[in-house]
Amino acid sequence: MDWNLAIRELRTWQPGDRRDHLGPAIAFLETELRLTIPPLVRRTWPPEFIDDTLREFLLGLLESPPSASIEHPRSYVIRSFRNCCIDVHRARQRRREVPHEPHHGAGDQADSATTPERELRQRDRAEWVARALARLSIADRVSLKLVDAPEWLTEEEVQWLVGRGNADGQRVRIAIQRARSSYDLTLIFDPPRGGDPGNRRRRLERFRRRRDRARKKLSTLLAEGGER
Amino acid sequence: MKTWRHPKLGDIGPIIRQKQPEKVWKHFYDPAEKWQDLRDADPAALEREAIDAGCPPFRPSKNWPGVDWRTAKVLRRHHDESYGPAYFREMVHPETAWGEKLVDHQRWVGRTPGAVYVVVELGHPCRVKTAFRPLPPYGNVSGDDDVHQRQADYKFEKETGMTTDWARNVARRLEQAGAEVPTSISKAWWLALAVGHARLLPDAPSTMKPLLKRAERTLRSAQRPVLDHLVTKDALNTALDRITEGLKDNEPETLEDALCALEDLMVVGWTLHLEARLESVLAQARDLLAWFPPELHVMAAQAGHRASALGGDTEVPAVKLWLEVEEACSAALIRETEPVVRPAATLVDTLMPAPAPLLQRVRSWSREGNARLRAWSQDVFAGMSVQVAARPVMSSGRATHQALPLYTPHIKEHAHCRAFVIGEGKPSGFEVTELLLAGDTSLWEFEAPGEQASLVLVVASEPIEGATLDQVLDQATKMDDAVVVERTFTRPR
Repeated sequence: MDWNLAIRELRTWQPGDRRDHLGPAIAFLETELRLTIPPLVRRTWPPEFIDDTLREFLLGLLESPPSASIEHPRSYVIRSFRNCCIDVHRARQRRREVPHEPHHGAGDQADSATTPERELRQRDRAEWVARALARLSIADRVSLKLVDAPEWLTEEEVQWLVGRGNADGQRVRIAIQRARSSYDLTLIFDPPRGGDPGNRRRRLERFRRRRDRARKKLSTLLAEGGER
Repeated sequence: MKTWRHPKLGDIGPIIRQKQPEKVWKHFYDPAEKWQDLRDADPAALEREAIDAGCPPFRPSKNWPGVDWRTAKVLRRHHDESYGPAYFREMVHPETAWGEKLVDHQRWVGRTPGAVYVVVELGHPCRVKTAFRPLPPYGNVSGDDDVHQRQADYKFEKETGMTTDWARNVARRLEQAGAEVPTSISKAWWLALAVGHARLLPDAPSTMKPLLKRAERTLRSAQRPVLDHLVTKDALNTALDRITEGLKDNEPETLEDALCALEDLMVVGWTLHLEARLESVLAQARDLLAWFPPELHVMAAQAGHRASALGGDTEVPAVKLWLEVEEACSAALIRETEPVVRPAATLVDTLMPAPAPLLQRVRSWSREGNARLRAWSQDVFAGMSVQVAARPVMSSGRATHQALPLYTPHIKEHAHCRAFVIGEGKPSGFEVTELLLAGDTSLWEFEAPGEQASLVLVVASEPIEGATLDQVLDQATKMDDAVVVERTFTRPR
């Protein structure tokens, strides 16, 4: 399954059609959209709230899939979903009702985000960042990905965490998934020796500095690789 | 609208057509920007015309609601006839100051004599990205010309670093604002901002100390009610709303402006010792910035620059804000690459429930059976429909709840058939054979929009025994000519 196929299934699906036609497309879209939810949000939003938001969005997509005139549905859908989540997030902060405005299929903001140049730029950017990340040390890469992009940790990087004193690769991934705060993540990055995690504030500060250094190195490498 | 040839930048064209309605709504209709002072036009009257055409009224959060193409046409006309000519006339003025943005060499900014702030993106031709009359972010700002002029100067200095360096600008503003006890919100704002910037300067020159002491004394003499209006809950909420809007935009101007506004509120709030309030706002900003769009990654450099200009102390809320932006930028970029593992999909069953086991048995029926009986079944299905009646509407304007029937017409020719509906609450099937054969009636009632029900027909040349659908299917397997067919009906949403 890929984006084009999934969107084609959405467009051709009719209410009453069999599940086996659309099920894989819906599952694909759900997985891809889950990946766009920032880890910070996944750690702080109640899981059922994330599910409700996703479900509402996917239902909306089923009812009005991106029209055929949209050349790059991937960018369009991801952008629409992000905008929908930002509104939900802000509404949640303000503790008020979310305005029931369509987040897809309408509005020129998302449309303008799907020009071929943008799609191309996105691919260029992904390669540019991947090259810079590859030049970072494994410790730097892990310190950044652990907080900002756990699904992007490679097996080698997970094994590096195992080598730091964690149980095994699978348990590391589960522990990251279950972490609810930066402090929890410090315990994975730097497992306490002899069971004593030490001073919480100092541990957090040490991890913050570690990540700051890694981020600066990444910025330098990105700058060397040319602006995208 | 035509282009204008800037001596250094070359041809500059107006805001692109696609963005014109949004910019007209956000800036030209904003009563605080007072575009009527620059041109013989009445933005309020034009906004009323746009509202009549279906445009939502201007909102101080500047959360662009989007409009349909008919309304967009009206807003574009307002751009072409009023807003566009107004910013163009300002832009071409010989006294307009131009400068390159400090950390983004693809954009230049112009500060016009009428305090219009123009952002231009370089290209062939260059394009105006936005044009607005800047205002400080404190609540209920008056929008007097003096306020616009001062904010335009400040913004231009901050974004271009032109004329002199940052420290000298801070010293000049400190000297100006610290001379007298502020009696208005505007004066108190500039004083508190200058004091905050002076305290945060990393390498303040020795001449700054006496100026800062005098300004701090002046600030202490200011009346509390005046100071209370500087960093209000409303002003902070508006700044967060604008960050929300900026994150949804695909151009950096909106987000940049919103972040700079929040930075200023944080510097003033920190000067006035409102740390607890600022921490809570910072936490909200951090959560929102988690959604940072990778397209706007150029802002990382600006964030780094602002954090250093503010002294880089990670305990200062305004510095923390820019560090959060830097972090959000790099996180968004990392997530642009290909992930290694993908989360499992868990919602398919709630979005598209798996068919009941009995329905699966029906659907897996592979025997063709008798062709005549199969044709008869198809004829039966062909006449069926979910009847969509006109929905009664209550006085409140809300449609009342009404069940919709699955209607079957009169069947001319009968066959040995058993009919069952598998639907909500009836996973084992609900027999409707008599109703079907009687015809011209409802077989099933759909309660909720989107609800599905499947009609199963088992047809044979002899009577088919069995009390339940399961037993009927068992019997049908023993009959060579039996036909088992199913069709699913859905109540429209």
